[in-house]
Amino acid sequence: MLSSPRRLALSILTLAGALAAAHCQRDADAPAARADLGCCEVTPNSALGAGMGRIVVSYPGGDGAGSTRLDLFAAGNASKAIESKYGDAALELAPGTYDVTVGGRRVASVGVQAAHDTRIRVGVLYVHATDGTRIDLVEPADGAKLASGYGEKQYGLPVGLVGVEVAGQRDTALIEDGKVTEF
Amino acid sequence: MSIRSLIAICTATLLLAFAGESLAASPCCGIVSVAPSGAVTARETATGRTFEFQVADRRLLSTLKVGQPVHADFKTMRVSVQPDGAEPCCNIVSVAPNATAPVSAVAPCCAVVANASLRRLGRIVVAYPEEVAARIDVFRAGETKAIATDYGDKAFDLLPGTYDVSISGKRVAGVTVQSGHDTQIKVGLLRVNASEGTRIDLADPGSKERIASDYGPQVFGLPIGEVGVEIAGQTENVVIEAGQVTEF
Repeated sequence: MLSSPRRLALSILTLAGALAAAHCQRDADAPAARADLGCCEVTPNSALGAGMGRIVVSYPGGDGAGSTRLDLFAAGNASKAIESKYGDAALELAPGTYDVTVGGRRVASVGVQAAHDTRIRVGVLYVHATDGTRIDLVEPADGAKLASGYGEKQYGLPVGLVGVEVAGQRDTALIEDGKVTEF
Repeated sequence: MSIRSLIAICTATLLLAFAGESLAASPCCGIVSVAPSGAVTARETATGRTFEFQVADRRLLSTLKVGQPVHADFKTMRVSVQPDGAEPCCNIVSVAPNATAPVSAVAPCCAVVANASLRRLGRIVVAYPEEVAARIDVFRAGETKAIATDYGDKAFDLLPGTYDVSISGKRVAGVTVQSGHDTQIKVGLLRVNASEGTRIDLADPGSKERIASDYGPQVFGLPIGEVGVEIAGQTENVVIEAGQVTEF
């Protein structure tokens, strides 16, 4: 599927995103100043309660992606969510490592440090479709389903490529931090 | 009253009568889609261009249907949904910049018009001149398993690419879908006036392959072009024209 320069560029971006996400584990040693950790950005927050940190998710484009679900898991434990939220979220947590799903897509090993915010990089996929048109969002690599909806809808997602299926046909869209991707 | 005043009144009356004619004539256009937001897309039959008008009255909006004829006046930018074109209800908010533009010289099946409500997706649109429950199947080009099926007037949102579309069993190959555009398949109706119990078979004039069958008086939605009508073993070819009802 690398028939065009655009697809090649998107594939390279995906690979870069995946490599960056794989390095989320470095949170534990993150410096006090803002740290860029691929999946996330860690910044000091002195206003937090003693010994607590936060995972923060904020979608661009107003409240359009307000129905996007976020689930928080203990790292490596996908069976039961510790907490669930819809739309923008700021979860105050004990320091440690967590897994988070945003719009059905998993972000593994998100580190939380005391007195710091860990902001998960997210964007919005804004699908323009006629009412009644079914849209499925899938992992581009294996086709695993992430989310489904009908007609015009905004989906909050972690950064990276996402597959968009319409009438059994699949295309990909790139989700960028803090941006709304029109589709 | 002076003669000059009388002439002025008569002239004004005539002008008003002619001004109203554009709406009072037969409907120019048909509804292609109705959005819950009140945005209604319609197509001008003569040119194929689409336009959008806004319906503020929710009760009126709930009565509108895809395929319903409407009157549009592009000078005043007003639309009437009444059968006689009276009492314009709504304002035209946008008109597609391109009038009917064939996909290419070798693809006269369709007209492609911009659709500002779409981005990456495009649409295949089928809209008949009258209500009919003709079956539509959409295929990936060259394939036999339909990826979408529906009946009557319909718009299929699709990724850009080339598709085959079957309408009442007659296949239109190589239908191109472009991002942000509607590909309107040119269709018409065949109304067969036959007695109850008379079997009617439609066949491709070239391959002679049967495409549809039914009994008695029937209306078939079909792509433009020739179709063979077989009754009691005798076949006659008829031409289906865009936006027209062919009586048989």
